Amino acid sequence: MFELSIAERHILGNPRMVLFTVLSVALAVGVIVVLIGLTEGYRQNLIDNTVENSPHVTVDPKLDEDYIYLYRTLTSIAEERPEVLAASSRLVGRAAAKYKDNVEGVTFIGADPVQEDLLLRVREDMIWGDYYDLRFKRYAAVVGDKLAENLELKRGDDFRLVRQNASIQVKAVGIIDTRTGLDSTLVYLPLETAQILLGDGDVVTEMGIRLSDIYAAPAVAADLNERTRYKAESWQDKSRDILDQLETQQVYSILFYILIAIIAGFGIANTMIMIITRRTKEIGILMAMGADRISIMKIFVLESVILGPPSALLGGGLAFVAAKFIGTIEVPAEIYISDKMTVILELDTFLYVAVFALVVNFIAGIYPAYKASRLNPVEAIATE
Amino acid sequence: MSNIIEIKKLRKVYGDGVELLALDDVDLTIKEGEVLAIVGPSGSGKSTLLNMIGLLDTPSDGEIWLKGQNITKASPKERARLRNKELGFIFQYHHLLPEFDAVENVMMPLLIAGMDKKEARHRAITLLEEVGLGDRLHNRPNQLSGGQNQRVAVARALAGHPSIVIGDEPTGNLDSKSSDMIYELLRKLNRQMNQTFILVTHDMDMAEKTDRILRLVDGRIVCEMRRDGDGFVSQDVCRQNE
Repeated sequence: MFELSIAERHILGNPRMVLFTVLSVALAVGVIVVLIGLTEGYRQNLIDNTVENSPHVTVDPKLDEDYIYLYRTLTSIAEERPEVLAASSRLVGRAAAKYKDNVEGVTFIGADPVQEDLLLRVREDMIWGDYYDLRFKRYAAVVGDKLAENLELKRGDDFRLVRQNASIQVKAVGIIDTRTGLDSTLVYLPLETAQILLGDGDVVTEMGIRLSDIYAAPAVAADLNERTRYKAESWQDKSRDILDQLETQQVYSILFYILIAIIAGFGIANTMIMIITRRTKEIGILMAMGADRISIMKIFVLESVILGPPSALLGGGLAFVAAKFIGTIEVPAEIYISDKMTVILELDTFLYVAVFALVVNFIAGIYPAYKASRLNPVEAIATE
Repeated sequence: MSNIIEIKKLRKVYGDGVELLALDDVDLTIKEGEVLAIVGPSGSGKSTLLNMIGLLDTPSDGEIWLKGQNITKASPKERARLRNKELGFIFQYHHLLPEFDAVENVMMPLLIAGMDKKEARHRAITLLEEVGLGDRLHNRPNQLSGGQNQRVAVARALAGHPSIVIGDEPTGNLDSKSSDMIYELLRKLNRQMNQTFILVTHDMDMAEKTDRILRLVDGRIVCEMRRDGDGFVSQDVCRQNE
């Protein structure tokens, strides 16, 4: 096909134009793939974070009560379900931690260490010390690493926890790094110690349940709601708002991606128009030799289409490099759900975006090619 | 000798606002094997007439017959086909495709016609050897002199065995030595292959080497001279316009 030979030679004979065209498409493809990857990464991090770092089902006190009083009974009822791996009764509250001249606001979690570890794999996050020490030491605490840093606490140091009229002294027997924002406020205590600090007796503020199947959470929550008057919620319920927001954001994002592709398309169309203007005389000569309008159109459409696949591949490469780089950036835990941003690159995503870019390439090339085919050969040949 | 081209009362008017009459009722018959020169001052309509014969443009009125067929109202697609099959062009500037070498440039009209690549290459090499460029087959235009490029253009014009080769100032950009070489080449091809040539030229030396000279002024043929031995004989139209 002579049109293909001509298109190939045009491309090889004009490396700067080719580079510009290829880069426009590659950047568009790369940016879109990375943005989709970031959104997907965030969603995945959210779910992982929720699933790993939060209970699958949370049970809160009855509507007219501040605490769960009959938590032992509640635990038995929860453990009747076969999916339940752990049911940890927790007393969660706010207090002030004081060490030497340092004072920090803390969130304390009082729980049975065995159940709590089954619930959230606390021991895996320990930097030093053993969370299980809280089973045998009443006035012992495990402290978040950022909190310890702020208080200038070291291993074995005693510090005070103060809440309203209560004040207790505890020993730091371990440091934990959950890689979340909690690390700057978290203090784990034995349940009894937390109850002393709270001063309202043998109560808990919530129960956290871990399941063998995370997708059974809505059913388990519904069952507990029905059988007790406690308020049970699945992790899906708790994350609903954010997941819905992500879905809505996805729609706006798609519009944004289309816009990026269109802008790249205009760039390509502009380049093709410039190329055709430079080759007007050549088009006239080809017409003189007998090339018809369709052939002239074919040449220039082929030029824009041939550059599509390498542009898409380069875009994929750029996305890959960008994803790796983004993954190394440390993000403050306050602004993201994890300390590193994840970019999920999937072949599907790349293929969809690449095909879309190729279509934009093709459409962008059609109008300039059509204009070229409508040139008057006499005027074209006479062009300076 | 059969008639290759017959032009009957050809008119061409340019412009929507101010009209310009480029060709005014031109009648012309060209026979196979003729070497015809068209001369005249700038703006006389020489190039317009050439564009009509070359099917690069369409007349406002009149008829064009090619090998006994009325092609006046041929569609753009049909005109493209006829240009490929029946016509060859040599322009003042060679207008070779810069990214292709000599062989590939000569092959181009044959590839447009759909010829097999191997066959086209063989034909192209034969023609380039015929025009004395057998040792320059794989040189690109920027590696050849002006005269050599024009010889490649001649070979390209002949590639498809056209009925007519049209030259618009084919030696206009060349020095006298190269001009003579090109003209001798065209003459040789005319004798060997009975190839018909129509040449527009300002160069009266070249015109006087052809078989027939047409002089155009203001879109009309004002004089026609035919070769008679070493000289030319004016036809009736010249006497009418004196």
